[in-house]
Amino acid sequence: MNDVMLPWPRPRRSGTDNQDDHQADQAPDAPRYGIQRVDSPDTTGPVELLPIIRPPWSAASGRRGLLGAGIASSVAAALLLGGCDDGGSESPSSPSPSTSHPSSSPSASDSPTPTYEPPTTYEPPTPTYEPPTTYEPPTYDPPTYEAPDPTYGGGGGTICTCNKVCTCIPVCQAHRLLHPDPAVRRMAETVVLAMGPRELPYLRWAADGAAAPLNTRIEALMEQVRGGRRLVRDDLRDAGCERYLTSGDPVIAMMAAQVLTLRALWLGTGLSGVTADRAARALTVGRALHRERAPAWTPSD
Amino acid sequence: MNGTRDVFAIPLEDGAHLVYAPLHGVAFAATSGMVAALSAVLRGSEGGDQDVAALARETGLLRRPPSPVTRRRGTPTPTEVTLFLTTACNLRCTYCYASAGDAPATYMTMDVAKQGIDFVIDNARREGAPFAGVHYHGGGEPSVHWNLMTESLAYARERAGGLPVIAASAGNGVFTDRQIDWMIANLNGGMSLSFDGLPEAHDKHRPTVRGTGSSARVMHTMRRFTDADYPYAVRLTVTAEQIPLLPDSIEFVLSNFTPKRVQVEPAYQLGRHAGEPDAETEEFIAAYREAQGRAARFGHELIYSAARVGTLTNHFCGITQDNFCLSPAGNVSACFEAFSEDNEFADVFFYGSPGADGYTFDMDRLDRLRDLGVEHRSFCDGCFAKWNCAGDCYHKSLATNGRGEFTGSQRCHITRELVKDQLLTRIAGSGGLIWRDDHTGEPCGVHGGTNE
Repeated sequence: MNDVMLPWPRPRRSGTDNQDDHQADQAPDAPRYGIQRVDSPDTTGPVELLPIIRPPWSAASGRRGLLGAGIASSVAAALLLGGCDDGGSESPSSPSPSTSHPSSSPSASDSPTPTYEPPTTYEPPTPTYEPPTTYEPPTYDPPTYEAPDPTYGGGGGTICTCNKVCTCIPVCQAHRLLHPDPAVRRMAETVVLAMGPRELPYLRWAADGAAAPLNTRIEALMEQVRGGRRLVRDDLRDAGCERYLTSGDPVIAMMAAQVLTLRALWLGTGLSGVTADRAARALTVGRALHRERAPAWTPSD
Repeated sequence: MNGTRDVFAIPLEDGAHLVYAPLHGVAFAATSGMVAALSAVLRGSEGGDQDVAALARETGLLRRPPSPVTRRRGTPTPTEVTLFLTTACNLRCTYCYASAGDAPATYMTMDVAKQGIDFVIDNARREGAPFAGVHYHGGGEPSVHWNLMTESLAYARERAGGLPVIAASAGNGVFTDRQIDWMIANLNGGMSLSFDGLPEAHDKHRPTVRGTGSSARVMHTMRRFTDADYPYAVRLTVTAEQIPLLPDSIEFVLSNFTPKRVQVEPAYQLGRHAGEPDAETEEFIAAYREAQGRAARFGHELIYSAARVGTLTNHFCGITQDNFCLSPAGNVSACFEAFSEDNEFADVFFYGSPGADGYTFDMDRLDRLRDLGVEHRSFCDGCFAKWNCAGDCYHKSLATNGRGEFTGSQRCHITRELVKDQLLTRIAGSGGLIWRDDHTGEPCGVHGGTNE
């Protein structure tokens, strides 16, 4: 990767010489940074984006230490796909959830839970837990999932316009806040905090549709968000969420992907390989769910 | 397919690259493998990585971006004038590019000012401009020619009638309370003050004519401006030996005053500072970076004139856009630094003179100025910062390179480093992964800049 020159320009002219000179004849080559110059045979390493985990002035020793470990391009692409206000994006060939990662199906041995294959027609997942007596699962009304309009111009509305790199996609994560599995509960809380105050309309919708105990829990978290509670690094401690990427519940799978992505972006922990493939798929499916559900809490024009 | 001409891969440490597409408004850090895969996708190669293709598509890299190039044509019809009121100054700054006070002072007359004001107001009316502009700058301190400053602006407002007049000025900040009152009341476009930060740093290089420090007077002005909630900017000039003080100077300014903008520039080796130690160094970049870290605590992003991520243009300043500045003698210059007909490069920047009916313009000279946009500089052609810096200050490049073809300067290196810093900062503030310059709406909890 030494094909980009970084010359220190030639010394300034001396004295007060103001005559036409011919310094161009002696000038160094202009520096060139064209991307094609990097396309050399030795660039066969991982195809990853590198998160900037702190601004340059916070990095030690010039810019060292500001880069996190790599995030697979599949995850980056999934984060960018549709869902948010598209602002005129030309994405006519955006892949559908069922076709975007054709070679990424993990083997059954990779996961303690059944592998989730995004179906072309979405079937309600079979709950893998017994709801406690005090917990009344929200009315989960799984959509009949069909591949979205390939123009991605319709559903979802303006949810997150922050550069369209969203880990804060509301689906119905709040309805997992009283999940019997503590890891799922932690993921749900983390993701809801990541959504922050801009998704209070979603939380209102989620609270209104929940039975009493869950309603109380969502209302309490909403109050905390209104009061200024935000996601902090400590919220991203390892919750062991990787194994949930293949959960039969696409919301849980998506939450796991969101938390892993947040960890990669905030802590620089990286997200690659099979885990990245699964995360990308979970995010893509989650996007489709989001587009279908968001109109319920998004004010119509 | 847009091609790869304006998509750049900038080396970072450890084999990483900063991918920057200025015209698409996209930046992210990536591995070499990612850069190679993206290059293939942008070339339209068969069998490219589908995830990378999706990434390129969703970031807009497959679109043909709009060109930032503009060029003026025809007879200029400026609607704003900058009056170089005088070459006299009440300070004797050691690094003054104009060497103000070394030569006999010249003063503009009211007739000269009126002619320029009439010209831009008439143009503004004819063009249907929302306002006319009257600004004060020059090789001396505008407020030293106080009567003309106040009378010319009063004349402009009267002459403009219902047309609003925006007025702004640069100044050294050594003003009387009466002057400060007038500025607050009349200079509705704000003031740009020169202040070097720590009082000891300021006083060393910005003494009065009598040789005493001027920091107390400037700080009084800034306090008055602050108390009045008046919009002002501060510009710090950094000499080589003051570079280590820059972070503390920034902290001093921002913890005591409320400027809207803080600009930092290394001292130019022009005028009284010619031959002095060079401040355009790696040490300046390191100090600037640390100073930016301090400024961030106050919610400020420092300004360096050529590092302007978010601005896409082929014009560094007004010299390529028919800037209309009048010297004390009434001739038309495009450049703030070519304030006098005696300037070494006056033949480049002076393009008009007053006549009986307005101004006579040397259209050949004006067209040469108009053609100085960065798109015509071969040295800049492969540089990722070119649409941000737009070739930097042409006066300084003349002083550095002479009149031959532009071959770069130390400022190029500073610009590139600071542009890189700005990009990395924006990526970090956008959630850490990708910065896109089409941000709209309120930031969310993740991408709202909490990632620090």
